[in-house]
Amino acid sequence: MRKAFSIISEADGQSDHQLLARSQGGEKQAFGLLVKRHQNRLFAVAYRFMKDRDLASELVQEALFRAYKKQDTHSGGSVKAWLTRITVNTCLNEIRKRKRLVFSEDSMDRWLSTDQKTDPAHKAQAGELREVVKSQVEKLSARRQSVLALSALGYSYDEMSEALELSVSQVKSELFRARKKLRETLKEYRS
Amino acid sequence: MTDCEQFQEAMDDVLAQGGTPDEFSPQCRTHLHDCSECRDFVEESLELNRLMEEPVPFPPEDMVEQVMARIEADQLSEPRLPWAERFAWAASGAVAMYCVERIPQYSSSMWTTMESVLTQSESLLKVPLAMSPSFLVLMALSLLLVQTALIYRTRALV
Repeated sequence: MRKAFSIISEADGQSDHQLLARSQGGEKQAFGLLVKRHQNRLFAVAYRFMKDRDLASELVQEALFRAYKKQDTHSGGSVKAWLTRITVNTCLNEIRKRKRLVFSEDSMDRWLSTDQKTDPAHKAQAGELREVVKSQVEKLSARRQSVLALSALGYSYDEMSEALELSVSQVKSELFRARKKLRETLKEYRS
Repeated sequence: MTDCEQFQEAMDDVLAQGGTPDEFSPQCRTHLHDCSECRDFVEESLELNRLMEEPVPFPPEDMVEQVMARIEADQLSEPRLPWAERFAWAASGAVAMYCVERIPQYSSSMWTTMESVLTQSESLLKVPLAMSPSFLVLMALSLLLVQTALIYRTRALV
């Protein structure tokens, strides 16, 4: 507890860039301060993708480890966006790996649950709608899932643009299309 | 793109960031007042926002310690002879430069100082002075091969 408190007070007043510069200079403790500062947000990003606390935690650790290993390649932009980008990529890689492993069974089940097995009259609508949306989100492209996840966590368009290496207009367009698809799904579900 | 589509895009820009209809531009609000289709759009978007909301748990308390422990462990397992790779690059680079410099068509005045230093070294080390260009090229290539082998050996320790 005392250790965590001293880490927070030490980080006060220092920008992300200052901490990263110290870390690049060999001060591992400075990287620890960066981790402390951003862990909640990065964990939220990973949790949005994976929906599993343990897996999200594992992937954030992996992402932060990778960030430390390649900290010298940081190009000078926002550190938060850089860490987010590494976390998003780590999660997407994991999702790709898992999809390859469980594609047939998992996707069949999803199709059945959304297209054939739904019976709105007999299920609690709010929970069901949430499931419908979730299921549709998983069918979106990785890029659209990423913009949806980050926007739901309060990332600004500029931050998403930097984190996902897209222009702001691309981010807006991807987000609009993703949300459009979800609105259509809701409409279809209701009709 | 129709007027409605343009307004919907502008309104969704606000709503997708967690904004509310109060934050719409005056033009959007005027349009919304007269367009039931866009009012439906806004309602659906707000509902979508509610459905997308979900509580996110906190990360484990020892996240920082876990990450730092992994970094520590990785550093401990790094090769003990990182200088070997650097030395290989420097040595083979210097010798390759020397070999190229000795080929008459590549000689230039900028190497004069190096030439005198190397000539002195040659006399000290008793290295033969008259070497053919093809021999020098062969020597440079051999050194590059040795360097590559040394680098692979170093990396194999990782």
